Amino acid sequence: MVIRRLICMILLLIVTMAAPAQQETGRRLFMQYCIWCHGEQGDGNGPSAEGMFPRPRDLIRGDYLIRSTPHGQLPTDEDISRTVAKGLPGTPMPAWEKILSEQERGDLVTFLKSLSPRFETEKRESLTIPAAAGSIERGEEIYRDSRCYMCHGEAGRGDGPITTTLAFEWGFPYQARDFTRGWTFKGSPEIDQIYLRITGGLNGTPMGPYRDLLSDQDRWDLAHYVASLDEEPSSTSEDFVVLAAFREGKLPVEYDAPAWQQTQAALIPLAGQVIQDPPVRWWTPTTQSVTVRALWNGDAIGFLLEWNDPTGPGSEIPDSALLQFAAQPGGRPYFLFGDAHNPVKVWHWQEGGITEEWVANGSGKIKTAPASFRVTSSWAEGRWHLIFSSNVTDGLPPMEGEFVPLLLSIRDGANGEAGNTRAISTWLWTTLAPPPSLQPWFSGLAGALGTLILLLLIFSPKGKPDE
Amino acid sequence: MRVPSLIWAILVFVLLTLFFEVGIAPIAELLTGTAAPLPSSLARMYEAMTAVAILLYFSYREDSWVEFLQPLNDFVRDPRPSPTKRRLQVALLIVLPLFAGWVTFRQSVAVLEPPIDPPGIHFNLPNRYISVRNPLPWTEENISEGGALFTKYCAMCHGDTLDGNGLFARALQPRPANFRDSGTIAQLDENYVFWRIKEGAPGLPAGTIGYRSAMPIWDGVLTETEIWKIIMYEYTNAGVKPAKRE
Repeated sequence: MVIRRLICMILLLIVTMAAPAQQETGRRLFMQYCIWCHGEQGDGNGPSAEGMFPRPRDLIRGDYLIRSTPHGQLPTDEDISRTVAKGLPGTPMPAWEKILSEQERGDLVTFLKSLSPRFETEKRESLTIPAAAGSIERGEEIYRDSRCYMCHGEAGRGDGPITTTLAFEWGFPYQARDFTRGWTFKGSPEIDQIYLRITGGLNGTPMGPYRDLLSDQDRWDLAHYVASLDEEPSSTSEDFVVLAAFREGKLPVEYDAPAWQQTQAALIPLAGQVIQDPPVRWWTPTTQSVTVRALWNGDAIGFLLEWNDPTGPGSEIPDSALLQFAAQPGGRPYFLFGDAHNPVKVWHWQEGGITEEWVANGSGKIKTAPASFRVTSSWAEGRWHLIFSSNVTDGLPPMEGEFVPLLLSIRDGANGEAGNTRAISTWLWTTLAPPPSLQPWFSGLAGALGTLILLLLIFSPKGKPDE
Repeated sequence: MRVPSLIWAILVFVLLTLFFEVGIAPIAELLTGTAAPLPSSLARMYEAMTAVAILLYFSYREDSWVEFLQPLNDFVRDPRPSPTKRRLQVALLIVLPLFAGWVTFRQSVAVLEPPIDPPGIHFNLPNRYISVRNPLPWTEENISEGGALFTKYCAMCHGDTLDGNGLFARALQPRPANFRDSGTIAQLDENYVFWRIKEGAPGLPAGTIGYRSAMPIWDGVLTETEIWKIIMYEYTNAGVKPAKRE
């Protein structure tokens, strides 16, 4: 009897001790990994929060974006654990699944919940996700009828008419999602996750819940339509090569010409220019990637640059773009405007039809040269389309059969980007695809015939040297 | 029944080739703990040497060479081949030239491969850094101040998780260093890391892969004290220690 009572007491003790122990481990992890952005109090005011976009979340408020619960409710434990594990793509919040074990993430969740008193009183219930087929066409109709384009834009590029006015409830600027860039979906671009965002909204943001406005099937169809807008998987270039395809005849000057659309696009990710100041090292560029296509016809070469920019032309500071090439054959200049021994050639375009050519031997050593290229530019539905064209032998290092270092950079004036405050790639390669030729066919034929003759000689009874 | 020596030769060649192609990596991993597959050019070389060694072995004596070639001779120069053998001979006459034609065709189509960066070579620490020492103690306060600086200046590329996967990382070629990897700061001394942060990529010889990197010069932006704090944070939170001084 005494023993049983003792066991009961010990069990009770373990149960009551376990939660604080978990919370204590969670607190230790939080202090080690999270305070730099979210702050020691968890209020989102860590030492590096200043200048981040988006700003780190204030965890005391309990407004979590990625939830499986209805709008306004707190997230479930699994929701928080998932956000910690997967991070918020497209934002500085990284994925912790390789660093923190499932157990540690669980402990961290226990601690995170202790930051907000709401978790003690408010209920949380997961929404059910219907396992139904969805229609992209129906989804597109619902997109129009529900006026999703007001924020997300006609083509889903986050460029709707009211998109620049959006803000979090607590005043920080907010950006409507660009649906063509699936990798920047904070809760992943899987269809059931999109369904949850539509159904439950994003707490604290202008994205409200559609649970009571649209039927289950409508929301499911809409999720399918949104998922269909993601362009990323078909065009990512991991090898950093821009290959100029060969095409007979005049290079088209319209970006939507079939010749351009049939050319393989390279999707080039961009980073902030954090190498040089003044004016500032740039941590928050708007342009996260640019797609490039290149064509040549034996005489002329053209580069089609396209990138999403919800604000487009007309800002106080003009948008601009540049292509930079190593100026000398075989040269490997420093990637940011070259160096003393290896000059670079820069084609610079600025909104309003301004084009300039530079020869640079480093950031402070830029000389302007007569422009040997032309640019046609247009902006439509949240996307810039620029065609740089030039004579292939005029002013560029030899490209036929040679890989030439190429670099791209974009400035978004609406984001205050001017001077060397820009989004930038590192060195890529560009080269010309050889014109079609019959030579390989002749070589193949010769190889086949030669082998046939050799075999016939071996098989022929006359050739028996060893008998 | 005796197995013809040609079959033996083929068997030995196939087994050794398999060993070179897929066998070495797991054994290396078992012995050293790190997976190190054989470079394909080296594997090709070993395979060619194997073939030459086998041919040398069988052609060493006249009679063993004749025996080695016997199955081939039987197939090619049978004066009265059976219908099956005749069909096989014709098939060979069709298949082999087609194969040779395909190989020559593939070889004469220009292959567009960008130049490969020279492999990551180890750069010698400049003399002026050899006697440099971390003047700060590894206190919680110093490491914590390093954390705040790291998150502000370094994490966008090297990642908050210190694994080289920051938000900008996918745009950068070469990729930012992964501090959790045993091949980066764990095999370097503190003063080497100090040099790399202070002088960045432009402090390395032009034309090397290091010079191509986007690592900025931090001298002038961060004080030396701040750099040491960042270094202590990197080692601590990546869970590795500076390499021992020789």
